[in-house]
Amino acid sequence: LTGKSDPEDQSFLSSLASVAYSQLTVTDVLELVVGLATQTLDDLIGASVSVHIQPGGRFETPTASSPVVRELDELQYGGRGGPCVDAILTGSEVRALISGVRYPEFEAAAAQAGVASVRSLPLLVEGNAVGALNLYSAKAPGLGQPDSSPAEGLASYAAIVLSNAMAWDKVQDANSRLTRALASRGVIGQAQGILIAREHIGPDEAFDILRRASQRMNRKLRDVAAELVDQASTHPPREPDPDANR
Amino acid sequence: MGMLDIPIDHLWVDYIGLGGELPLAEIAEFVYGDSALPDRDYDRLAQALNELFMDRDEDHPFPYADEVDRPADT
Repeated sequence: LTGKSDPEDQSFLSSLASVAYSQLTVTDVLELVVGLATQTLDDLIGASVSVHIQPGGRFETPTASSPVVRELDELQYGGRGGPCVDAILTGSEVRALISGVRYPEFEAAAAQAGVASVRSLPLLVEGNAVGALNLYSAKAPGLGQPDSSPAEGLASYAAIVLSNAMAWDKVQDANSRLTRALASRGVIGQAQGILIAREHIGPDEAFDILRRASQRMNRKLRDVAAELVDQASTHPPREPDPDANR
Repeated sequence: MGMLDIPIDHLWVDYIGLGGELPLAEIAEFVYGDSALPDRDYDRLAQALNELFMDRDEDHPFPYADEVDRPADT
């Protein structure tokens, strides 16, 4: 994918829209977005994407165009605040001049990095901001900045792509949880079968034995069951000795 | 449940993985409401919860059916 340097040319947006989600991770998609922003928009020192991790409400920067930009993002997290966090929490675009007034720690570091203004566009999915596209500029807004629509277009496409990628990850996650559950259910059933045959008990009593062993050893029940199945299959009970009673 | 902060459908999948057979709606009704569960299902759910606590280095804080007086419908 090659960047278009002309901000008037929005054909780069179609390259985002045609991304094959199944072949890209969320991180790949966000790197694409940040790359397109830095290649397309004028006067940028760098760009990044902040995401709001739920549950928990933690902020993270999965993708940044440079380590300096990542540091500037992270200076706003953990309750310290900043334009990127504000854009996510309010769901509205934030344009901030670096003046050292609102967020002294962040703004001092930003000024040192040559940043004159920050623009954070919320990535809205069904009305909720799941993240923000952060644009760190060397110029203050209003000083011959080109039309802002490329940035807005990029953010809205990023939100769609991010939302699709998150939905895909969710499905994958649910799929692997179910696969694990089915494997666990299988081995627990086998262990119950061994106990039923060995101890002449019912399936619920067999489960209780496994459950108590799990509690006693402080190990997952499926691991206890797997060990029992493993032992039974590698150390089969001895065949009754036909000469034993003679 | 609040302490664990996990979605009910995740808990239900874990319960199914432990041999549970009741649908998600019945487990949700028990967790959020005051309906009772048969001992076999209660214990599988308790085990699912305890295994989540185990991941946080907490040793089986959730009581099993034979450790607690509770209304059961079996």
